[in-house]
Amino acid sequence: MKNTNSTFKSITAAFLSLTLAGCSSTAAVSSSASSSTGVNMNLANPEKLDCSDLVKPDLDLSNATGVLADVLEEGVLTVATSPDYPPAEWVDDNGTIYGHEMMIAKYIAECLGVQLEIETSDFSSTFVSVDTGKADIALSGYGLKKDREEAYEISVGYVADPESEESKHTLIVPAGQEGNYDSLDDFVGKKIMGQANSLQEMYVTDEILALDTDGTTQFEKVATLDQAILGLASGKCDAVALDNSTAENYVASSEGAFALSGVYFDLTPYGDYSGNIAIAKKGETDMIEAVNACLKTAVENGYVHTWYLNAKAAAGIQEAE
Amino acid sequence: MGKGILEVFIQYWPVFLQGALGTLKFAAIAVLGGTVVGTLVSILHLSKNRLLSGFAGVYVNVLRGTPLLVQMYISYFFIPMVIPALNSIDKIYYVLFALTLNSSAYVSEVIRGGINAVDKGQTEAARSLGMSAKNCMIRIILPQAIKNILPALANEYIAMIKETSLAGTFMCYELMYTRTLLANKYLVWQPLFIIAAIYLVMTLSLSWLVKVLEKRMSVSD
Repeated sequence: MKNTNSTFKSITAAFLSLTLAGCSSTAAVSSSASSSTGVNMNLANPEKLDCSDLVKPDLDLSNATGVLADVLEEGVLTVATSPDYPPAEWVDDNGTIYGHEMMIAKYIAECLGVQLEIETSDFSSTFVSVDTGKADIALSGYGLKKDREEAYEISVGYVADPESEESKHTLIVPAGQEGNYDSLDDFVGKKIMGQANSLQEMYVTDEILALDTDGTTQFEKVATLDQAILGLASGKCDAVALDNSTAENYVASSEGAFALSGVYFDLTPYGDYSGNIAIAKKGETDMIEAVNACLKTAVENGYVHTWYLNAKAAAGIQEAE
Repeated sequence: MGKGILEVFIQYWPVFLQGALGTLKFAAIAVLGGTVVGTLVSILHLSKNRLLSGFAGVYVNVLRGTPLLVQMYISYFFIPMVIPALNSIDKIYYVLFALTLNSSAYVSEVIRGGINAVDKGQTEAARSLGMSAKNCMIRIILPQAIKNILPALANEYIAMIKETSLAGTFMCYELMYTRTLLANKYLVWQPLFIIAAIYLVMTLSLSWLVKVLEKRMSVSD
């Protein structure tokens, strides 16, 4: 955490400046006319969610139906997220909900010419928010799962960092035990923890529990990933399943308590979808088509990658050595 | 395992301070709102009208018999589904709504107990002097009941301080939510101990205040 000390020192002042408004989590991010140069947004700039100068796709919104029509009429796009997943989305030192997925959300809102409102909840509830119409779309680090595809309209996949091993998923173990694991078979008979409804839950079920013939492997689902990390630290489990970059961060900040197992889940059975997706309520095809058009433009112009790098720097996440 | 508890507290104390203030505020609003609604419910409960007292009985039983977290989820997701116009309201109000109703059920039982504890002779004396039932309740019974129930109400406030921790599930800024904020910085275990200590300080100092209050109230006995 060497590089991040100065960031941490400034947090005291930053949090004092927060209002005592109690629940400051529904952050309405107003669009700003101030100009930032290209995509290299200044991290110190409070208007870091600004993307008014970026190239926008040509959207034909004249025949919009469903929630897209409501969004255009009300002038507000509500996006559900669980802000516990830096650098995709988290509450930054200024109390703003920030991250590269929040930049995507802001970008989509600006492409539609509306304001962005962020609806925060825990991860499982982000789905409920979309279902009940509390939110129009949701971006919360989702990967593609079969049941998600059946239950929701899903966007095209986007990869935040094509150069990194971001889209890999792995398991971390207590330090010193990484030598015991060479393949996914070695996790059979162990106790594994992972976030409920996450991609890793699917990987563990499909690729580890499926290998288990005598039912000795235990998979315990937790609401938030930090509970699993706490479980690993306290010896409640043998391994935690999570994505590669989060794994590296937890290993780095554990000061030698955890280690990467070096074993990765095999993602080839899950089709072409790589990276993350956005979701909308089933049947809201107009909404998801608009999201797809925005995502494509944002990926093609390299915006998503830039947002990702900015968010990663703002979260104080170091490149793994 | 990374930083120590003290180190985390020194670095992030404003986060915890704001969380603690949020918790105290939520609990205060819930108990104040709960007292108003709870008083009405207890009066309905004591009413001779079977329909009204029956309604109050069901109200109390449902709210005391279901988990607060479930009530919060229903309030948060279901109310705006039924009344879409309410969708623009900040989520804190749904959470406070559930907290207030939950608190009102407990408070109404406290008040009902307090009213019942006032000697029946008081009502009989007041009524025989020609006071109306309403006047008797407001001028004779309630002032005596309040003295009995104030310590119990204060205890409800202390209990509510702990109950509000569920609001953190909805990312409302209270003490338990600080855990989510700091977990984003990969601090997963230290905040738990800090949060526990702050809750303990808050509840213990309030219990102490209640004791002082009880002592002062007993002077007039």
